[in-house]
Amino acid sequence: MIGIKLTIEQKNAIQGQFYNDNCFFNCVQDINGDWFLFLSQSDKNEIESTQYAYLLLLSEFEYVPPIIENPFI
Amino acid sequence: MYGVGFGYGSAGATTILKSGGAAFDADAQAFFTASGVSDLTQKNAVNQLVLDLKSNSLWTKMKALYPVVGGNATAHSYNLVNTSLYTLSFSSGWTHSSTGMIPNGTSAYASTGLIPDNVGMTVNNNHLLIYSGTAAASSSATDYYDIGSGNNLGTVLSSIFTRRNNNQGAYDSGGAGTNRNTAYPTDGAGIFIGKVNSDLTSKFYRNGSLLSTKSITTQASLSPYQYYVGGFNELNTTTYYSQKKILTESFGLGLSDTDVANLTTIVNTFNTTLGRNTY
Repeated sequence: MIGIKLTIEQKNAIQGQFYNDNCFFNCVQDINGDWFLFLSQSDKNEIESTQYAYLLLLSEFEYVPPIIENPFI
Repeated sequence: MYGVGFGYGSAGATTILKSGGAAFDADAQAFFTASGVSDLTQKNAVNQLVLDLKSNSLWTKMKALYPVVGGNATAHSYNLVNTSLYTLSFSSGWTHSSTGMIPNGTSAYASTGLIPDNVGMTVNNNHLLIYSGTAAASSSATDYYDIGSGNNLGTVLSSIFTRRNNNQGAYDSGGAGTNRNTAYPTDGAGIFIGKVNSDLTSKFYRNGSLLSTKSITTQASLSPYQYYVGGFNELNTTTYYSQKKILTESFGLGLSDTDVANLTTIVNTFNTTLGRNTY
């Protein structure tokens, strides 16, 4: 899956921030500990006219999920 | 013969009546006002959903029910039972449309604000419902949950998932080790309901048919963490993201076998009216 790779500063600037009344940014780490943001098309449509429009200009990279240790099934 | 009637309220306001001329149920109207749903077909469907839930004594058993109607995040966020409570907050990564809402399986989830321990849901008195629009097993090798909350040990757990990568579906009311009710559906689409009552018999259904039964043990806590949708709330951290489409979901008190049959019919009728039923 392709996503927007963020620096830690970029992640800290948006994590948990609402970009409309109902939706907020949620960033996740990949297998290397790098932060990624995934936006649906409707997210992009919503963001392009806000202060967060710069996110749409950031580069995208392939995301490899981290390995999750499952203490239970 | 039915038609759309118009009437005038105070100060020249226009009151649009449902097809047939009767007013909408007050709770349905409150939902329309909050959510902004304006399409008459959708409004009539929601109104009938409310009427059917009430006439079948199911309304008061719902702590939250999300009809997922309206086609956008705002409309999909509202709890039909009480628009002031448990409004969903969506993370980035959801796709919303008239056919439902889909998390991306990687980072998308929705917080409910609904903590089962705080609303009278217990290990021996609760239900979870999800109408899934995704037939295929999860493509991710990582386990996922459609709805869930609990700790990181699986000893405090309230959750449901329809069809994982290994075809496993399950309903959890209490610790997974003793209380997980597991089935292996060959189709992940449909109305999945998990429920348990004071008899401590957990039952897991798909489309009104019983998938599996399990005798469980009671616990002091169902979960002190709010439910997440599209993922699992593990000690207030999101994990186990889902990629399954959601058409309708509910959280609430335990149901009788008859309640399950009625609720299944009512929810499918609602979604059939909207042209997005899976069976």
